[in-house]
Amino acid sequence: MSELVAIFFGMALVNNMVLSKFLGLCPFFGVSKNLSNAFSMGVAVLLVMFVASAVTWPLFHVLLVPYGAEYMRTVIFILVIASLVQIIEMTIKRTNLTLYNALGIYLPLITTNCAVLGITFINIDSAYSFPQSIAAALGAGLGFTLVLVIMSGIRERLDLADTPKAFRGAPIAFITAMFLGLAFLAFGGMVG
Amino acid sequence: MSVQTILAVALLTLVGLIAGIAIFVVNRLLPKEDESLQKAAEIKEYLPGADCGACGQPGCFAYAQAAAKDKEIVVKTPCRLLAQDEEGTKRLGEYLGFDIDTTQIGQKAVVHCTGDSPVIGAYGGITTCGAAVQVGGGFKECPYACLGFGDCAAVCPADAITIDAARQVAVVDWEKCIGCGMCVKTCPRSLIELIPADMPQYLGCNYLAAKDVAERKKCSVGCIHCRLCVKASEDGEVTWNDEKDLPFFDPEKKMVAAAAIEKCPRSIILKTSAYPQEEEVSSGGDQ
Amino acid sequence: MQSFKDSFTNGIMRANPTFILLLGLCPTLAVSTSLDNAVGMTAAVLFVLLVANIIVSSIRRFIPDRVRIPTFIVIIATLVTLVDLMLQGFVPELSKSLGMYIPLIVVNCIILGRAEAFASKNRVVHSIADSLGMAIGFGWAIFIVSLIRQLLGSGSLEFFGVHLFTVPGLEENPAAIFLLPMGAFFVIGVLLALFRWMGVSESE
Repeated sequence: MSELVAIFFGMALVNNMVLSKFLGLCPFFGVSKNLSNAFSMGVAVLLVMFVASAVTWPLFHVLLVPYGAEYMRTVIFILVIASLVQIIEMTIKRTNLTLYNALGIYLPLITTNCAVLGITFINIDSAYSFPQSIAAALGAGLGFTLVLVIMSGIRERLDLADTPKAFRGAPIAFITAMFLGLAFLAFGGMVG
Repeated sequence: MSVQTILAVALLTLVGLIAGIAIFVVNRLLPKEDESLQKAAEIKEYLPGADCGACGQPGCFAYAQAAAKDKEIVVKTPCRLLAQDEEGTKRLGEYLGFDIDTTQIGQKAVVHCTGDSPVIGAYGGITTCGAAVQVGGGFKECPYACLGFGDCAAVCPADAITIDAARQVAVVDWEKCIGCGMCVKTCPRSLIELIPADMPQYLGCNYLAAKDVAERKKCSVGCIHCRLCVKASEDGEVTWNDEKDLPFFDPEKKMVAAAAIEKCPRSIILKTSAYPQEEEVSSGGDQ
Repeated sequence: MQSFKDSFTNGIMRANPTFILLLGLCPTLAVSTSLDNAVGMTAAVLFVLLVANIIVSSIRRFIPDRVRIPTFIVIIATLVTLVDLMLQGFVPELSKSLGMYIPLIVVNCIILGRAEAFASKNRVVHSIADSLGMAIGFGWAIFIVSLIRQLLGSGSLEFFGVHLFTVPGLEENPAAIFLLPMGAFFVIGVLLALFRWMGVSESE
């Protein structure tokens, strides 16, 4: 159990998806202008990461490994993720309109989000067991949401500040990400 | 090697098939898509898309969903921004199948300040009203003055507010104002108020004498609480608001206070574009 | 319709995928720690982009609209798997250095985006020009970032084992932060601002 917690916090804070592994940068800079959007996006990503990990891990170990077809994982995983997102979007759209209004529109964006494909690859490359994969996915998703929310809070303030013209928008956002990353370095010894 | 090829193709086909079947099955099992969603998407095409919130709904899509369920919403709580656009309203009316009447008297915003208060401090902080009010009670002499950084102008979905740079004050153009109230919520000094569009006059000052701030005077044009306006009004057009220590113009009665406007020693009671006059001295909508 | 030359030069400067369109930032920032990586990534992206665009453009009339995106994704995924295996076979060290960012080319916005926005609507010749231009644009962008990061982060420049250049004084105490993710953010933030300032792209 303690190793699951270690993996969870490791993925969330120490090896944060965005700040450490560079995954999910597009939504990070695209959706983080507004706090509520950012939160919705983060939750949507968390959901998809969880489901994707839960499905791709057994698929890999049951279907690909026994037949020596590990190299097929790129194609298979992306196909599975695309279908999963489609199914999740359909389900939310038809069962809960409020939820759909809140985060349904972000779901198609997540299909090509490197963060989701990335976490499925990490699960395989790190040779995690199934519970470990789930812990990693949850940690990664929560870490992603956390950073997204913090970033959007900062950016809302940044919009008001007197930034030099050339830096407005993306450049200052990147530099802010640098400071955020530096701050997260402090978590380095946490999962020792 | 050919075994591998066959294997690869077979795996891909298998996973593809499973995914396809899964989507198909889920599609069948789920309840049908709420029809109002499709209708809402169609209705949304006719809406301005500004998400201003004046209609009372959290955004244009939510309004479209409400309208899809109940068409009468379009008349009961009309889209204020659309009401300015005759053609747009007609098109929406055509789509929904009935005439939308937009001639109802709405509300308009007024700024209770003329901005003549002198600047007493050099402010170098964030250039928003929200920030400036927190620094030393504002950089103008009058503690209730409009600071003129334009937080209200920024949120106005109808672009009805401009900033008079000389006096550093916000000015509302009644021709464009749709009465959504976004500026009212945004002003950190609560200087903006929504009054009926047929209100003939309003007070250009918000100096709350009852809550005097030490060592801070009002500007040279603000209300001096002399109550001459009340004395001058024959039919009770102007009464006195004791709590604020300012004149009160009843929005229910909307009486024209011609005598008060004339008698005011500071001329701080300002006419709106709804003021009944033969000759329009000032352009309509000026404050 | 744009001419071949226009489609080609579009991606290099005017619509540079990294600095102007802000696409495909994940690999740019992740692998730009050395020039070797930059070259390897560019080669991979070039191959996938070119071949994918050719295929998509060739069969664009036969793909039903509803399965457009999944089709593109499968084509790209197949090509990426191909590239991944080739790299693992021929340059295993580079492959290890690039890690999982090669498979992640599948979801690289540049490739899917160009397939969707350009190749599915234009002839094969133009698609070739566009993909070449985009790849070169991406290539020189990641090259510059790697140059800065490697130079400042390790004090010297190396290119496939050939030692090129050492900054005197920096090699003993390099600014290691540039090799860390944070350094990448910083470098690209400043570069973007530089491009804005030079007037190449519009400010927000």
